[in-house]
Amino acid sequence: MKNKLKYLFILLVFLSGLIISTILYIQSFEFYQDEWGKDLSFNSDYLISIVITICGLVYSLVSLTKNKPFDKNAWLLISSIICFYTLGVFFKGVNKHKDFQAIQNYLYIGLVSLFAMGYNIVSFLESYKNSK
Amino acid sequence: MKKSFISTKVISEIAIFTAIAFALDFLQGGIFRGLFPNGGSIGIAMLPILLLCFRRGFIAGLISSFCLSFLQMLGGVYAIASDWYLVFLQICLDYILAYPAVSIAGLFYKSFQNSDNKKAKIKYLVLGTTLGGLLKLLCHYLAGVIFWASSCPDGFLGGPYVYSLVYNGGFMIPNIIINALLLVLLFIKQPSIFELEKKEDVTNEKQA
Repeated sequence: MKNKLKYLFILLVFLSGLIISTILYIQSFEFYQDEWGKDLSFNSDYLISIVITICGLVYSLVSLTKNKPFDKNAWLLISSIICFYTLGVFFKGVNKHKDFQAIQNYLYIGLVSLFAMGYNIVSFLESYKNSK
Repeated sequence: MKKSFISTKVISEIAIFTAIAFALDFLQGGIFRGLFPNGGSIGIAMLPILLLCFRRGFIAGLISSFCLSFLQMLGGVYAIASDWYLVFLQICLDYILAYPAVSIAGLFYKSFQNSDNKKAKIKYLVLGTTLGGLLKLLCHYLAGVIFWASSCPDGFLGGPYVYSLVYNGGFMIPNIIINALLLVLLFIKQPSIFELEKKEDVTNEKQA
């Protein structure tokens, strides 16, 4: 019962995260047109939050229905998505010659998630070896 | 009980592989932004789609790649065409059809799974990746010729027809080579990743 409550709490956190990111994502819509072409853009930070919360939601639903602990692979997936995305935004900014101050947060988050990803990969490989 | 067309496990795999491919596409897009200013990048974003194609079949790969295209579009769309029907055509070539073209590799799924010869399996992996990659290249090439002709440098030998091939081939050919190599390497080192369905069937039979 206590575990179920814990999984329900995790599910609610991801669900509220999904709702908030979706609202923010829709609000970030911009349309720009000039002699070169048409540009329809959204804030991709919110899009990636939606992707992450959906992944978290899937894993927490599995935890809740099967009464299993929150899968370790979920953290591996989430940390790798954050790592790839934030480093991608950082490199894109560097290539566009953006001011470092404007993109430095992406680098820091990317590096932290890179370490988290490394840790998760090591623990995943260990559990994989043990299961063999 | 009748086995469903696509199980919950496959749906979860599609979601996870798509999310990984999307994040990888973002990373490689950022890194190669300077080299390919009009879009395109070199990396392993195609790998999750290809893996899904050879692991779960054409339909799973197609769904995943359409989801990926949809996610890319949700990130923002840039269209150079003036009329709306041309904008639609450009979006189709640059976004909607480009990644799903890769899932053509899934057509080799049955031959790959049914073959007992390791060499033949590797041949199917390479064939599928090459065919999928070439179809993606065709989509980008057509978009380049029809819509991005203005970005062709003045006096370029062969005009936009050759420029589009050089530009898009510049990232798609390395993509095909890298992904085919990694796929083969993954198959040699860890073949169980590709032969999951057989293993699951045996487990199900045992349970029955």
